Amino acid sequence: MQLLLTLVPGLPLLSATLLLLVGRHLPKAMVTACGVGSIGLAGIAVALLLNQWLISPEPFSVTLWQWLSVGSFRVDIALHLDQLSIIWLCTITGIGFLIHLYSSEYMAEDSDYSRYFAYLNLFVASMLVLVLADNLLLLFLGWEGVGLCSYLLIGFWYQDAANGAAARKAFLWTRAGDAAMAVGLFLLVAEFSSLDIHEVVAGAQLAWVEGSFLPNVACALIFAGAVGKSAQLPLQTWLPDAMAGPTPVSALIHAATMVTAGIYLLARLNGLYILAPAVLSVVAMIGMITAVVAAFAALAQHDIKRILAYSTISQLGYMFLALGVQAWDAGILHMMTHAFFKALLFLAAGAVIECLHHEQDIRRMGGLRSRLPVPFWSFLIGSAALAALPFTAGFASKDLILLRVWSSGPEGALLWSGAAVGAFITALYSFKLIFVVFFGDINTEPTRQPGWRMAIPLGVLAFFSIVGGFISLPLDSVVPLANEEPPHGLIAMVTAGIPIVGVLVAYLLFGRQWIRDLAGPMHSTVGTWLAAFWHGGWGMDTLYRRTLVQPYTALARGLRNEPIDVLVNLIAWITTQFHLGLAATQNGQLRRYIAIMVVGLILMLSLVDGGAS
Amino acid sequence: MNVMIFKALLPLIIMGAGIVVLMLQIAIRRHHVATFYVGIAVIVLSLAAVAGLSPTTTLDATPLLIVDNFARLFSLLILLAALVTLMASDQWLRFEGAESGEYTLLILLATFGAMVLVHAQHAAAFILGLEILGVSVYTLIAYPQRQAVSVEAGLKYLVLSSASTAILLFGVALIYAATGTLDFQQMGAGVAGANNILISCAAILILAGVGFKLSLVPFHMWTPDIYEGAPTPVTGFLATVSKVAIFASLLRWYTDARLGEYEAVLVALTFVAILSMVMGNLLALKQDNVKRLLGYSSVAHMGYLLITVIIFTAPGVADLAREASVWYLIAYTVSTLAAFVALTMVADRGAYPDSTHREKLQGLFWRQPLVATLLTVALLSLAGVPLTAGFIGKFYVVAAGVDAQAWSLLVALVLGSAISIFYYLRTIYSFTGHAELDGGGAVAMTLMSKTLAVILIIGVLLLGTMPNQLIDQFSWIL
Repeated sequence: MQLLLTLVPGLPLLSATLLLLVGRHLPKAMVTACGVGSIGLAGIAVALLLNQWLISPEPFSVTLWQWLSVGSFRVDIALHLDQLSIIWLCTITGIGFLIHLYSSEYMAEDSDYSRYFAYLNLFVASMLVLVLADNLLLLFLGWEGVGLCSYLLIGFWYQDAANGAAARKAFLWTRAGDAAMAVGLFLLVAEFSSLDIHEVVAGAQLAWVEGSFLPNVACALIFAGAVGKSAQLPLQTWLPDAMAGPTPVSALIHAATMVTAGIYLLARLNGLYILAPAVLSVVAMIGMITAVVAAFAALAQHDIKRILAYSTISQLGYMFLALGVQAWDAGILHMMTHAFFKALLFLAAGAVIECLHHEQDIRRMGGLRSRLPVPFWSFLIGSAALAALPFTAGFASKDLILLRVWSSGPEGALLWSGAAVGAFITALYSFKLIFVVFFGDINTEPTRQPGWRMAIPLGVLAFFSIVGGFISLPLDSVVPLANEEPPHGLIAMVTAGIPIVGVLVAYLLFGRQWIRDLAGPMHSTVGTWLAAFWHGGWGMDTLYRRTLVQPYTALARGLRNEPIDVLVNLIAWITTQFHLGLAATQNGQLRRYIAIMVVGLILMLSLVDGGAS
Repeated sequence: MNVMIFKALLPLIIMGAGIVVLMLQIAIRRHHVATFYVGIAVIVLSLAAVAGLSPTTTLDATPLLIVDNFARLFSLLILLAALVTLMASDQWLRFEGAESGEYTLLILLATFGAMVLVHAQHAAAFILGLEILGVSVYTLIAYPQRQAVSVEAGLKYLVLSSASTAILLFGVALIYAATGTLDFQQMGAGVAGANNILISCAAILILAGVGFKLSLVPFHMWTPDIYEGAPTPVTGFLATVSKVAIFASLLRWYTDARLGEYEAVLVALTFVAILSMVMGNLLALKQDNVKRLLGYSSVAHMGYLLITVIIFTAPGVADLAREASVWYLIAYTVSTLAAFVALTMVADRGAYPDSTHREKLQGLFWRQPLVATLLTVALLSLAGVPLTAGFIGKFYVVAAGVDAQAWSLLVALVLGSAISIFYYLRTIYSFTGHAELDGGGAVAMTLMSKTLAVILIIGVLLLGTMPNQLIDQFSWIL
């Protein structure tokens, strides 16, 4: 058990190290074996762990070694397995393996094949460290490792300057959240003088009064980190641009790693968040608004990957909404089902893009249903799950979230209506995608069909996108579960019906040629303006560019030669002057050296004072 | 001398006998390879003798020498450093066409002196060790006799070092006058009724003398000239073995004789530490020759180390302070040694002694990736970046400083570290630049150099990631 748990993050890490050091000199088959095999073996280790777990569900920790032990301060490198981390383990290694397998075909022609797999392995390893970490320091290490790898992978094709810019954007935006989170973690460590997550949470529950100042501040700061990593308002703008990386990387970022880290963090610290109800309602509100706003933005996109990117932001909003109303289990279930169908959608999109010679604009696609059957069926199942149609995995989790939100309290109805609007738009854009890409007239002929290494992951993920919702997640020992049953009756029927209405509307709007012609006049000035507005992600990018980036660069440019700059440079100048002054004493002459020694000695001796003892 | 004492002193005896054997070998027949292996064998045997000692309690082997965990640990460190130096020197000696016989002999002699120092419990042993070490080092610095800069450096070190030893001896004389003993612990016992002014003056004189060897401000002036002029492996030896032995010995003297109980001594040490940390880093700031840069940075490092001595007398900190100084010394030794081994490996034929200039290191990553990695890891460790040995050392010092509430010292440490990041990173940055040299003059690395480089890289990183495990591996010795 202990060894198995160590192998889970250990194997990908080992493979990443190997590939980084000597990957260039290895034959391609070797690289594939290392890159895909390490995740596969880690997946097998997780399966064995799970098997053990089902027999005896006892949480346990493995202390690998002690990193620091200075006085009373000690940091262990320790892994902890419990109900929460095992769910993430299964998702990360399972979906991670499928994405690696898919990548081995998708990236086969790339000249930097080994570098790609090295980063990909490191990405998975960091995420595994993050979810297995027993203490806040290790968690932070995994957290930052994930951030670093996302930067490396988004900018993987760095020869194109735009990709580099997208990578930097992702890095800087998540860093903004991380800065706040680090302060929050410092606050926890300072308060409880322990890094151990369980000790900190237990200590907080003993020492802190619910709703008082400190838990609110700590939770808000840590939530800021989660907002950055999980691309919630107002730090969401990096995710659509993160499409610059290879498509399997997007799948990995959106499904198995990275963006679910924020969800994990909040779920892991639920004992802390319960002490801060005000922050929790902010979490719910931000989640709801993000879900709606991102859904509208997805509706207006033309790039197939950007549609999926906005849909991820929107779905993450639902997860935060669930966490915010303390429906912890619903949020975690949605994380898992979303991982299935979003990985499926991204990989299917990758197959479409690859088979159409890197065409990403859906307006130049169409009629692909019979030409690309495997991606079509994958997409259909994925979109159905995304839209939360009944009998899919997405329905099981999203329906649960909506019902829990309804019964969550005084704000429940408001949050529910927002979420319901979001669910309607979600169904609309996911089936718009289906109708535009796979029905209608053919616009671009596919040049090839996906091979088996692409088809198998699609099949497996499609299977789980349907049945994934029936997996019951035992979470009783890690999060408090709701006692009452979700509401029945009219509200349940309305909730379940919304996606179906959305699909019908999508059919009417995008599936029928005559209605499309009829809707021509709707492209009025207001309509186009709104579409453009949503297309630009509610103008958030523009807003940030205008309010933050441009003033900042203008300020920087303006100050380049200005007096304030001199003040800043003064430190460097003074330091340099000191250096020069001191360096002048080093003239290489013995008598100077001796003289300085003697003067120094006399000064030291002059400190001796007869009275002191 | 009974068996137990004989066994306890065996490492020293092996070193002494080994030196004689090596001398005989050279007298019979000069042979580079034979000399090299005899030198290595002596050190390895002595290492084995240190490792073979059971973790006994303290043993007063002679009135002059004490054998305890402290001495064993530092003997181990010194011997390992000497081993690395000899291995790194081999390539350099062949390359320069220098005679290896006397060189190896001198390294062994200096190592012997350093070991005597860490065993010393008496001022006489201290002076004896210091001088065995010192005289060997003068010669080693000036070893390439045809290099004017090396001879100049050797001469400078000789003159200045003699002056500092004179100061030190005067301090010893004063303390003898005040307490009537040269034994460290008896000094501590006799301190109570003695003349305060006399002892304070004596302590300051002793610290000044030792401060010179450790290149603490204001006795640091020699450092860059000697670091630059000496052959690179010798500089590495001087920066590690010599400084570590003297510092360890000073720590013993200072604590046994309870010199920290004098206000004036503490104040003087505080000034010296702060000045060393700040000035050392400032002096290194725009330094273009990496050897000079490391010289100045060693001034700063000795300043950081001095913190652990100063706070020793603060209530309840003694154990942590001792632990901190041991850790820092280990981290400093490994990192500094790694840096100088790397610099030995970049040496260009005929370009000595300028080959360590920053411009000459441009594009090192593309020319000699292994050496560049080694130097990068070493410099990052010296800068105290997490996951390297240097971070653990610095963390210890800061933790001990915080416990002792020595805020002024910590402010200087933080300030100095901040400045130091600039010059370490600037040096590393230059490795990635475009190579202006074709690297044609670079030495082809032998298998031994490559192995040494890999071991040192792994060592620095392991000490930074799993320090306690690594130390536990040695715990059977201690």
